Amino acid sequence: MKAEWTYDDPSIPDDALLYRRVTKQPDNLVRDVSDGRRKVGIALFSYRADGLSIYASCLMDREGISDVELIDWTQEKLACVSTDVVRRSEPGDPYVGTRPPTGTVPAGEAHETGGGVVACVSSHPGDPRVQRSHGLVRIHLKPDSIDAKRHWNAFRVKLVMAALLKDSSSAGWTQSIA
Amino acid sequence: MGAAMSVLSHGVADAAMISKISKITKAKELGVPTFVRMSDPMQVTTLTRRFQSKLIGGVDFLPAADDFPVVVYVYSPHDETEEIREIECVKRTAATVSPALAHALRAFVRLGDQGIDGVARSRLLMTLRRATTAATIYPSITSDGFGAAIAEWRAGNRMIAIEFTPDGEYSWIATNDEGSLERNEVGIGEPDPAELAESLEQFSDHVAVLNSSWRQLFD
Repeated sequence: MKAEWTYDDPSIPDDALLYRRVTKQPDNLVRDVSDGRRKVGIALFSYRADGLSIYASCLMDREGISDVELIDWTQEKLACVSTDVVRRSEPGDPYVGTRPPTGTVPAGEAHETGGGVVACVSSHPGDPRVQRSHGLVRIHLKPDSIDAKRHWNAFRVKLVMAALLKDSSSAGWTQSIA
Repeated sequence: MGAAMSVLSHGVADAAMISKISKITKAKELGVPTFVRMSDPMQVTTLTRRFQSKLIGGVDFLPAADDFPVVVYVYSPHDETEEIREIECVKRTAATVSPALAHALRAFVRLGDQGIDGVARSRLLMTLRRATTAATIYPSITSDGFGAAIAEWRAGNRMIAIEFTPDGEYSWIATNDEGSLERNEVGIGEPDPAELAESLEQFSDHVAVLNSSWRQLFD
């Protein structure tokens, strides 16, 4: 019997922040040539076999940890998006039937790709509280589904445009870093 | 001395460069390389596909501008146990490579062994070879940590991203100045080079007006 693909847990609130590790190598950041600062790029949001790995602030609150304790700040930075951005599904311009496809939403759709968040304990070695704060961002299509990539591309552009960065434990959240 | 390996070259490999590469491969115990001359980029692509099951790295050896590193991907199509080795060397010759492509090559060398799929990397480099000119803005080069090779350009909310993944697919994503998706193309192979070239030209013209000193932002 096929396992059901659950892509959202409504108990995770819209205002929950979802954190992504930004490794040193490869550095998934992109140089914005208009101002020289670095921003989140599409590489940070890759759709893996079970979803996009994140840490959710609501789960972290339950475990009594903050974003400062999520990573080794000498080796990594943090990016975040909010759950309401993940779930957002606003109307967009429909695709025109030309090759290549154009439009602001996936072909055959009238709205942005909305996704969801599910909790999922991580097996990444480290603090058990961090492991239990782990979750997965998903869309309605499984990663190996036909056309999942086109939908995920539209979805991750939405995340890229909304993501914030923090490059040290004491820094604030900004759209870009030096 | 290791097994004989093949170095595939595109363009002219002069005697001095052949000698230099031979010394490097000998020093690294990779054996004596065999040089195959090809003048047509499609030949490179054809050979890549033929040896795809054994190809671990890229196949590009490019003539270089003064002082920029040439990345030579060395692989053995005959021995599956041989590891891919990258050899970086500097060559002084007339430039036939766009600065954007040269920048991408240097970026991949700096990234080193980050698990980037060799075929994905080769496809990205070939796409940049076909679609970039002397005026093209340099891309940011990265990977997703799972084998993908990505070139991304960003100016405010305007973005172009080309991604090659190990499954043989590519994505071409672009947004406008409002950050709205304008292009979302997924396919097998590579994007149409003429269309991509036009898109990059428009982006580069836009940036040239926005920030004429953009080159200073890159190493």
